[in-house]
Amino acid sequence: MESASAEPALPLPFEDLAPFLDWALETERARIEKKVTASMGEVRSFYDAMMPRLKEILDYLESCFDQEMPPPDRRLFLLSLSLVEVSSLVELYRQRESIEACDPLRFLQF
Amino acid sequence: MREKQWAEKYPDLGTAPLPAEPYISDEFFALERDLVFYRNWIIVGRVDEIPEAGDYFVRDVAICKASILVIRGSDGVVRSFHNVCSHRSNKLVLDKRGSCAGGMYCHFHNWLYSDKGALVRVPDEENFFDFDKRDHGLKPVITDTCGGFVFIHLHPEPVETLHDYLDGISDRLNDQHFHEMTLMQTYGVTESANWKVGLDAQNELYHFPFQHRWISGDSLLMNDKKQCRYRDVTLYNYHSAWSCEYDPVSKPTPLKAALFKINKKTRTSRLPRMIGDTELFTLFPNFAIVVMRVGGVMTSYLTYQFWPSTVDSTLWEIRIHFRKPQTARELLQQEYYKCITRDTLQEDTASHETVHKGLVSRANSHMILQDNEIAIRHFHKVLQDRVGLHLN
Repeated sequence: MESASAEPALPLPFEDLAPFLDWALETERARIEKKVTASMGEVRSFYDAMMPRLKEILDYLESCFDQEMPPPDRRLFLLSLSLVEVSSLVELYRQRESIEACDPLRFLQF
Repeated sequence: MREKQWAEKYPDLGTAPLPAEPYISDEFFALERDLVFYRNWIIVGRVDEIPEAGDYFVRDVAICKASILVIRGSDGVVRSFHNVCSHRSNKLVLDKRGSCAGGMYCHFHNWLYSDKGALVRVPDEENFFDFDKRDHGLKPVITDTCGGFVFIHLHPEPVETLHDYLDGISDRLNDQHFHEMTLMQTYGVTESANWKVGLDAQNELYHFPFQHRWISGDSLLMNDKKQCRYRDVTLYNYHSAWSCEYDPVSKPTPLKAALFKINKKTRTSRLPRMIGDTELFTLFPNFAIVVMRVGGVMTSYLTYQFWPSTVDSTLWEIRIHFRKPQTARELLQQEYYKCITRDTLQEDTASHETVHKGLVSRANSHMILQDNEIAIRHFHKVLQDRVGLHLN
């Protein structure tokens, strides 16, 4: 076992978000793929877990912005990016059936 | 916000339906290639993509089968060349962008060119006949800039300067402080549609509350009949500009409210306004700039470029620019705006393709335009003038 295994996956105040770590994805492509393959229930659970913590998350990230983030901070930041990615589905479309659009991955040509 | 006011402002444009043929005709497409894309100033990128001497990018102009190398020389000047070796016409630079401190080598026979396009070194030069390197630099392409945008003119003898071509719109571009923002995201989508279908759709507000009813249908300021109206439309010789306002009191989503710190007080006081003026500039033939002043919070601009490859296939390139974020909150605000924009444009792509299918079916010989679609009318008049073919 590496010693890193002792490190928490997320910053301590946000450890309760650990069940959603599969949303901590580095690339826009991965976040889109996660959004389009997750069930609507999974998307809502993630959104509902993140939204009440957003102010706290923003305050926390402020202190480490523009620096090399330690992995737990980085994961928290990536969770925030996924929250932004899914927000229109939860808040505006509300259901996938409302979406009349091309496959989002078609936009990632470059 | 009177009805039909733009047709009153520009009565010469008329109000007749426009022919559908230019979207689907191979003959019209060939004329567009020869008389529009070969013989107009077209944007290939921005000067801030190549800030240092030796920095370059390559732009393919598919309709003209041209690969254009845009490079900043050691003297600071931005030049364009055909990306083709003078020897046996091999493609010179193979990557899309980069920097060449020591010049550019052709991979075929190692001919070396300087960052000003001069041929510098030729292996086994003595074995050529009546050969002078000074005669064999890269083939230059006429280049000029405005507002930081790099324009090229493929035909070697433009009938007008870039300044004349841009008409009065150049002053408005120069006022925009584009250089203060940086490219945050580039999207590209290859659409099964004629290049003008997408350009037209971005050139009118009429569709906004309908096509985008979920994603952003209530964000624009509308009249009491729930219709979008422009605050201004100005038509230039070839180009057009319109502006509109976002609705300062539309109810933000929970995430938007949290990211932008919008509460009931800031929302209804109109100050600071969540989003201020939006302007769209359409630069003939294939470029549009959307400037958004998100009052007091951020400013951004989007560019759209529609690159035809065939009559029914188009690369739509979308670039999103912001000021460099100073805080995590700003970065997430920008990410939010980026995602909403992408969601919106995905809806557009879907309809560009269904519209094109409808056009190809020839069910309609014409399209009917209303007053909110006046910029489309203007564009097509310019286009028909340029190709010298006036269809009814």
